[in-house]
Amino acid sequence: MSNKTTEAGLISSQDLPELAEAGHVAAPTVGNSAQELCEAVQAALAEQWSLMGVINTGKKASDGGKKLADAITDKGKDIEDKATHAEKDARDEAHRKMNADKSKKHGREVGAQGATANAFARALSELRG
Amino acid sequence: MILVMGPVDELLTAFFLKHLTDTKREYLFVDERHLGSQVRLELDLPQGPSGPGRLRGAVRFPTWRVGLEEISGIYSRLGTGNVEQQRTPEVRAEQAHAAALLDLFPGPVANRATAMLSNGSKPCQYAAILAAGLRVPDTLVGGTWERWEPFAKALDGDPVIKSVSDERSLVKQVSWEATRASARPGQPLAPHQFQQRIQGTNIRAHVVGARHVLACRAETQALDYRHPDMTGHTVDLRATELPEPVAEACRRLSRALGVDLAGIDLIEPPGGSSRPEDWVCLEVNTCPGFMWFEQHAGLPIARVLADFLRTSISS
Amino acid sequence: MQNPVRMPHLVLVGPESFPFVRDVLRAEAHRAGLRVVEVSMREWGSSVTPWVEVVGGRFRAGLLGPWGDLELRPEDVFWCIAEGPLPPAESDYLDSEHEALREAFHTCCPARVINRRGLLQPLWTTAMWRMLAQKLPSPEADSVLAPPHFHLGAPPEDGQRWTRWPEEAETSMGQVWWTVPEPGPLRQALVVGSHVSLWPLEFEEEPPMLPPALERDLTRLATACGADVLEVLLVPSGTPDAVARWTALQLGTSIEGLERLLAQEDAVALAQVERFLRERLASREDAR
Repeated sequence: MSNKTTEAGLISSQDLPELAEAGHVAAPTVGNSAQELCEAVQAALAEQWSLMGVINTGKKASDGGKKLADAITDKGKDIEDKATHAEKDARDEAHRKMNADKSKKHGREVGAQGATANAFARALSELRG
Repeated sequence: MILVMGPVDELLTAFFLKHLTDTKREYLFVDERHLGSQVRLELDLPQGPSGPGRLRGAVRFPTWRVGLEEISGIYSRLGTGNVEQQRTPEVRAEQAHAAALLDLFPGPVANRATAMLSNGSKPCQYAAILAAGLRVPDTLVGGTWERWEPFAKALDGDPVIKSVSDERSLVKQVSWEATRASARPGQPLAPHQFQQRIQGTNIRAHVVGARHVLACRAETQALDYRHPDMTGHTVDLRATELPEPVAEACRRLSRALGVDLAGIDLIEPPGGSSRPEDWVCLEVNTCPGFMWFEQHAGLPIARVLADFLRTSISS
Repeated sequence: MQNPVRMPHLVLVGPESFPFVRDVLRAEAHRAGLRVVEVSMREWGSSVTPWVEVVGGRFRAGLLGPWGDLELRPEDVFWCIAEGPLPPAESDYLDSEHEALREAFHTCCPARVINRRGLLQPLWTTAMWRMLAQKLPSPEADSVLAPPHFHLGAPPEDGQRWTRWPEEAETSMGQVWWTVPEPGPLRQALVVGSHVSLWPLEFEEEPPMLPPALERDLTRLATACGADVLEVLLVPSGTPDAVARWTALQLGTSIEGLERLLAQEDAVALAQVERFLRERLASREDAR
């Protein structure tokens, strides 16, 4: 694991197992303004990079220890595979989740037009009062 | 300001947020885990002439809100990062609202939810790739052994096999004998994608806003340069300039697919060429993980993307 | 010659739900000299599976079925009228692969396709209410067709009447509210190629007239959606003496409205669809 600062830091493919497993930083608090939100985001980012080992802090050893142990054991290869596929995974998940609104994508035609027309007729009655 | 949506501990989200922070850009961040609980989206689309001001609304936090008119562009990594979240009706509703915002926002969006779909079937993209003037590998998807045999015999070497969908697959080269052993006469083949292995150099071109092309060259012996470790090979990424006609074809392709951030996988023919029809396009990543390429090839993708999303810091 | 002249085909997927439309399709195919191949929704993806090939930048595609391997060529016509979910495969991975293959076939099939589906066709990938919001009004200044006023989130408290987007129209996870000012009677427009007709869906003393401006906007809309056959639910709104404006409520790629009209032996609808099919099925000598 490289000990690089975020300023210097390249993240190499050797870092990927940890990076993939680093996903346990809490969502930043939303605060009461954009300024507070940004400060919370920066704190979350600092925590995340430290967990990834990009910033060498004591926190890494305690919080990230389990993940690091996984990465250097025989589970490492599997995790690496997972990490190097992160881009594809991301895309796959994004497709699925973002299109949950679209029933047709899952092989269903849009509902029977007759029923649809009746539903709109009812809705129009409501709008007309 | 730029609206960024995604999990803060997802790599690309964090990387882009860090870039925005370091460069003192103005941004608004919505962590996916807050959608439906602490953050809600409100969108209003009145009747009236089409145009940039038609969509109104706000990103609403418990004690404050930001109007859409303050947002210049959106970067979304929603759906990535394996976020474990209880999918309550409120959460699902807000995710649907976010997808709607991505589709309807009049400014730049990397990327709109529906524009990312083309990647779900590689041959679907081939239609757009060919129309943009680039080549695609000779490919067969589905069919029977009787159709596979003449197709494979016409190829130069053993075919490559990969997923036809965007499901994760490690690209492999398969032997004629292995495929024949698995085929049953008269029965459809498994619906994988068989194609010609293309000789040449892997090039990844990131296209921002169908305008800015940032390319790098991946030198490796590995069949799939994204996974060099798995085959014991190394990969060397270096920034490169595409010949202008090829860059222009990449812009056309991004525009046709409607993606403001595209990761286009190309193969440059041996010896090089400036003719787009000599360059093979393998696929267009519609949710590209550009961090790796930025860090290893020194490409300023995050900066160009942030510029494109029209950030201007006044502080 | 070993190969006799190949008869062009009309391949229909899912015609069994639309027997009256199917009869017209069969008759027009016979008239135009096309051999009809019908694939039921149940067969599509199970006993009939597609393939796609691209060699030298040229697409070929076909169907494997009980008849063997039927390659679809530019002189053939393909219309997937309706399709359902694919039968479950052995794994999620194979499910996705089969789905992707079907999308590939829709996108790449070199036949003349009516209502082409696939991942590059927004009508098949975008929620309908969003299609309305994206495509309407058309940018031209003379447009008379608009989407409803949409609102996402909590229902607005602005004194107007609002209603939820009906689940029957399309399952939506979102809280989609809509309203139309002074809505008139619900009507259905049938866009078939370049021909448009307008039908009442609620009681009206006189059959509705189709204003030229609305006809123009509906054909623009179908073109913008990449649809050859499109059913549009719409209402006029505004007072009678004001300039008539129209609100489109739903876009339908299913042909239930057409089926219903043909079942009622409606001569206008029959003439409309026959005219369209005659244009589409006309043989193309250059494709042989």
